[in-house]
Amino acid sequence: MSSDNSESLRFSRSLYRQDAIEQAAAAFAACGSFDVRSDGEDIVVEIANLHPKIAEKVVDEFRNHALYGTILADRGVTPAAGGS
Amino acid sequence: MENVPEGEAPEASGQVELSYELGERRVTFNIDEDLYARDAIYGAAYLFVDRAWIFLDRPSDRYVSVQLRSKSEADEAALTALAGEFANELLNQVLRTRIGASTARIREYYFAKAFFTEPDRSGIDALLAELDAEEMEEDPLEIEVPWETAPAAGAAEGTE
Repeated sequence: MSSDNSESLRFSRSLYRQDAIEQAAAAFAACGSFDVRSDGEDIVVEIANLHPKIAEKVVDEFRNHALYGTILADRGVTPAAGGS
Repeated sequence: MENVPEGEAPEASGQVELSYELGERRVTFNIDEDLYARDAIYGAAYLFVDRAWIFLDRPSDRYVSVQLRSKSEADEAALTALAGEFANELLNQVLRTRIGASTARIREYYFAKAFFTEPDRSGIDALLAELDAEEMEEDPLEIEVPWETAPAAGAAEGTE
């Protein structure tokens, strides 16, 4: 996490689904800005404007949420409202 | 389980054991996708999502890097135990997948039999229905009375 509480996360497209990452970004939109874009084999999420006290935890939870959504989508399950 | 220096390739140790790296509240290890299918990795991750922050990465074609970051304070022993439990769950998931695949036809057969065959009547019901059918054939109105007990027969005897 940089000093301005922004971070760039890379998710391998072979392990994470873009729609799950976009859903996680929407779920955490109230905590900061999440910009999702494709970059070759990866999906890049630019995170900014996080509150310094919760920044690290938000990033960790965002990763979990994206993985959880990916697993559910892989199993053909629609995630419940509220996510992980 | 074997702790290896940061950056060392998993196959460099030449052992079957799962090698892992310890960091601050986190443990990282690489999984060979030829041994543990991605479904098994997902299955194990799904069960650990409440206990740890999990991040998957792809260091090379065959390998998946799993990073577990404990949600609570954890020393080296706790992180080693966490990695060990994850490895056990991986094995469990692989076994579940294999058993599921090997018994798929039997499951399909039982589901098909349960859902797509006519409901079978119980033996007693079938027997009673059969008896009713026979009786109805012999005496459709069930009013047949033996001739000895017929009122007309007694009246005829009294007149003689």
